[in-house]
Amino acid sequence: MDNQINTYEISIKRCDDNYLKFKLNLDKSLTIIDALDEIRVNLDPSITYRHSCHHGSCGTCACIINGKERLACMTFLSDFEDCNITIEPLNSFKIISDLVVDISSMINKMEGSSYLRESELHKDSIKPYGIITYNRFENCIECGSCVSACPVKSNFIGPAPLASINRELNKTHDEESIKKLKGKAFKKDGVDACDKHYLCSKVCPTKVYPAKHINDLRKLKEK
Amino acid sequence: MTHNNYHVVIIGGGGTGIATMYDLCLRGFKVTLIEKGELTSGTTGRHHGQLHCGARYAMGDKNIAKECMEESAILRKIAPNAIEYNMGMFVALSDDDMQYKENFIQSCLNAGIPAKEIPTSLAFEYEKNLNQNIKASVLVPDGTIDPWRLAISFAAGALKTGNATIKTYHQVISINKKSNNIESVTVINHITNKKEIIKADAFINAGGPFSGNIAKLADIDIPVSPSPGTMLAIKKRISNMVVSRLHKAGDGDIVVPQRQLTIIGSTQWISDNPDINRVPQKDIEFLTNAAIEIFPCFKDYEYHTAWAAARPLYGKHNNSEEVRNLSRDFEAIDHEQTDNIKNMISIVGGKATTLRGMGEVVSDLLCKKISLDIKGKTSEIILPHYREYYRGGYNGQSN
Repeated sequence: MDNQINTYEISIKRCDDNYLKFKLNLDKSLTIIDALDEIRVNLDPSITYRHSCHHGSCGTCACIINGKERLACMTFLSDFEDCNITIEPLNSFKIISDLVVDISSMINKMEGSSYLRESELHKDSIKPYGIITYNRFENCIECGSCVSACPVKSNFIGPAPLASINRELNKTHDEESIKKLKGKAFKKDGVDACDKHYLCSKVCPTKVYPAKHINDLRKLKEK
Repeated sequence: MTHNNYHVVIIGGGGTGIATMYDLCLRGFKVTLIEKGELTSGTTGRHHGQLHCGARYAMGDKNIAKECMEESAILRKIAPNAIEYNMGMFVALSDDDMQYKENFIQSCLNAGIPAKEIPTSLAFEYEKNLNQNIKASVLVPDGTIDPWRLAISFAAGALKTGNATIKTYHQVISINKKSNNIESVTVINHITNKKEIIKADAFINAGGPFSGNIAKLADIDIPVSPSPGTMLAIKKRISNMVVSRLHKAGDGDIVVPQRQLTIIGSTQWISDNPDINRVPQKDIEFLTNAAIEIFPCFKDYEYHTAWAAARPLYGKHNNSEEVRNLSRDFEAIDHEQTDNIKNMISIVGGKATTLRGMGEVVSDLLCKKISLDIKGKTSEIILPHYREYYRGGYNGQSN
């Protein structure tokens, strides 16, 4: 990585719809989260934003950066040619403060009591005593990017919840659960409400590709 | 005053503060947690995610190793949604590593860790991408944690009791004493920009690497060395197990798989500002090379990112060599004993795997101080699903 210090002008949308602008010198190898930390610690302690893992695994820091949903911790200053960067909270969620949104409206619709699934790696190899299958967390980090980017804003359960229904259908063999999950997917605000804009898949930072899951559900419905 | 109206303020919303809140809420205390940012936005969220069975510490400190074994088994039971449990392996690559092996296995067994040497041929069956030149392999019960989801599972458990108030984006700006008693803290609410005074009967400083700064607000000096380390990830999962180098704990000797990533950690230096932890450029090359020694294919995959977080090491030290030798143990400091301040406790040191145990030790100490005989229950109750945290109220608004 080559280092280069640039002067960035960073605009942060506040709850009152005004944009606070900060000018600061930053190395272009830093991330948007690094920039926000720098602003909070050295310029304005009142800036509020969510962050935790700093490596794209927790999903807390999703926001709209230069017009597109991205994880602030996985967006590097060097990703942009321009040194003017605008950071806004996700759409479709209640804003709590600055970049902090309440994603509970999405979380409440997520399916699946287990957040784990079978690991794709070394699936058929021998495993140590006590390990029946190698497991791993789901790809979906429930960041809300897909829900924010989706142009369908009403009467729609949303891309991430639909993707979770499809994942769960692939995991469970219990007929009662399958019936319930299908019921949710095929309701009026389910697959039929999707307008096939595919923006959910475009913005997904962890390659869940919700549009593909929605398509699977659509096929299942047509069967 | 009955204990059900006894109000405890916890400063710091990392793993320790959250687990302490949960433990005290289960015991019937009213608790207010104050965190200046999002929960786990300091050190907890950023750790590489190893669920330590204690093998890494077995040669250095039997008690910590034993504690990790017990705590990792409890976490696997109470927080199944926040742990990938695929076990772990220690691999020997050099003659020095081989010498280390003999005492290593015995030390693990002495600490109650079921470490078992397996033939290298079997190690390759388990983990096909391992360096083909490994000389020995020891299987241990390690795993991977999702630090955010583990912590908010504890927060969900606390909210469920009805005894917890979580104030995120609230920063303590003063600790208000009257003679040798703390009466309240003044906080600034970053959402409204207004000041609030929060009174309580007892105060717990769980600020991790910030705990020294928090103690200073009460004119107390506690020995803590914020000690950041770098972690690096590639965009590919190349193992299912945590794989560690079979040698004395050092830099760049633990590979932790998680979701679609593989993480190598870590390095260690001393910082005076735990808020800003920049990754030193030299760490990128160092960690990549260290990972390649264990998994040669590490070099074939795309770089994901590198990040750093400050460990809250207990003790005052000035150079990184000294810090590497510092214990990963934790200490609950009763400031009545050390500073003649009756109702304040600081919890310093420790690590993610022992968060529940740390919460229990602090809660036990508080109960002892006020002569209450209530036992902790956190090891026996399965935590709610992490998603319940969002249902319980959120971001400075919950109670």
